[in-house]
Amino acid sequence: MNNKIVFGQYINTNSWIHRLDPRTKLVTLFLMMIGVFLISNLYVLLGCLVFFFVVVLTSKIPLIKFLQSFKTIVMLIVFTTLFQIIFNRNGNIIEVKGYLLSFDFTLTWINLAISIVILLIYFLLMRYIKKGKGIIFLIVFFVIMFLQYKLTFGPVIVSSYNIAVFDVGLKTSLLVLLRIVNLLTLSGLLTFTTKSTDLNNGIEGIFAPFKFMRKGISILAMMISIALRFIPTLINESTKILRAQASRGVDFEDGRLKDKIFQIVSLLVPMFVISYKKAEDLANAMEARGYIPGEERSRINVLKYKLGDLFTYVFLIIFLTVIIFFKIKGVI
Amino acid sequence: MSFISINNLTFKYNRKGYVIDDLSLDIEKGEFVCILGHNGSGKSTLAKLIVGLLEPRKGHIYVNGLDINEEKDGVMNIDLVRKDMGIVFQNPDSQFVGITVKDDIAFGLENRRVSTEEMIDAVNKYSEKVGMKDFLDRNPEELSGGEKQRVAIAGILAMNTELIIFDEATSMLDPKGVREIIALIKKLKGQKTIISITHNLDEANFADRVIVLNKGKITLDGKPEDVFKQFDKLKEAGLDILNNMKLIDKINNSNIDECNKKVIEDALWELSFPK
Repeated sequence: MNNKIVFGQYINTNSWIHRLDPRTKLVTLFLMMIGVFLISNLYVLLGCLVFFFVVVLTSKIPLIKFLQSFKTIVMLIVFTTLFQIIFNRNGNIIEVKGYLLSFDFTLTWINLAISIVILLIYFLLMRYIKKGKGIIFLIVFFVIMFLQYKLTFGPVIVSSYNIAVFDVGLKTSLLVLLRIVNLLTLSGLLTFTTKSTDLNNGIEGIFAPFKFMRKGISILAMMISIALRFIPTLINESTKILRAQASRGVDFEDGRLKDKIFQIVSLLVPMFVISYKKAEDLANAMEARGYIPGEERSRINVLKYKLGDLFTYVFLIIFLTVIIFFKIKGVI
Repeated sequence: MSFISINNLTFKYNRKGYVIDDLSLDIEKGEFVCILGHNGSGKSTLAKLIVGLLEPRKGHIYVNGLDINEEKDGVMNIDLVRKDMGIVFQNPDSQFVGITVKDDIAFGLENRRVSTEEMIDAVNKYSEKVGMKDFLDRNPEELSGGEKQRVAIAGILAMNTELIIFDEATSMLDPKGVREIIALIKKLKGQKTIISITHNLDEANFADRVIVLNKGKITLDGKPEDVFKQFDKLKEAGLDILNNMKLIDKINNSNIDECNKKVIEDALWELSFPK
């Protein structure tokens, strides 16, 4: 009963960002993201990133925890950057110390066979590797490419295909990389400093002035808040079912994929029944307490703008004006 | 007319037999009524019918003289009558609507568009009344079942309803939680009209009136002292008969002289239900 499941990545350090109104944070985040997308100058983007990191530091959130949140998306960043470099063939090939960054690869039966062996070993070892799967995969990838670069004798399948690094390609890839990191930093700033309930209140608060969509938004906000409320409850229920099924001999850990699918069914069916029953009970409780969907309700948590919000909005306006001004001038 | 008046109520979920079978009942304002019955006797269904979560097949339920299933000028009577009714359900977890204790107590008030200041006052007042004042910012995951039920009670007290229905509110709690909730219910006696559906005979003995349901019909209705002596009918309704009650019965039927009989009977009664 007393094990608290923390949802989201909120860390309470009670900094000035924590104290900002969630509406301010949402609006600022959204407009800053658009602003970042308008910038197409590498140095300005880098400046923005440095600035955002300074803001992160002022939020007193441990930098390591903040960077750890990037971990899940690091592979995506690496691959988008690599693809940009490989497939964008505009401009000139980059020259480093008189040496062109252009490589010819040849796929032969011999290096193909070696590559397949390496891949097989990799997939066999995957079961025992817990950490760093992505890095190992990258290494394997480079080894295979290196084989095609150097080990080119034997019967040829695909002869000398070329991969080269072009200056425009490199620039675009860096641009994409910086933009993604900027966006991640911005959204991290929001999710680390705002409780999910506050976010929900914020979304509802932003749409409150729009009368025509208020009904839908209030229902949506109620749905989100109930979902947030019931996620830990359902997680608890699912652990209970897992244990109950395990005590009846269902093995969730090992086994072949086919067996695993059937085992998951033994979890899903009771979960579905339980959620359905809970939903009915909840609907009864809500109806008995006078909830009518879409009807206007008062709120106990009223959002109030403070001085910090004003400063944030003023800064936001300055930021956007400067960006748009220079964008029109064509400087950035 | 009584506060709640049920006339010839009939209800069934599907084609199978009646869950509530031609039931008539009157409950006065301020009464504390306990409804007993084994599983499937229709007692929870009755509670849901009274608060308008289910619609009867036949018969009428009047609360404050209004038929709750009728419509007048485009407004369902139930929406008007709900202001006077609150219900605490069995499962402490699935009736917790808010994300924190504070939100949950305020939920009913929010639906009534009570102003924020009033709501905060009410939340403070009633959370204190149920002893949950220090828990206002907690999530439901951090509370025990008994604490969640106390929050549910606070939410209904905050709505200031005349009637509170406890639909097996203690059946999913641990003994400590049961004691807490029953103590709270006892405290409310006399202040509100209470209908308590329960398995707890201790609570039933405290009531002004005990109703025993069996197969959707009322088989016993009266003061607890009288009801608990009707062993045959209690047995028929599938209810436990207390051992002490059996002893009282034995003593009554034995040939001990009247004076001693009364002393022993009182002592046993005292033992079963310490007041």
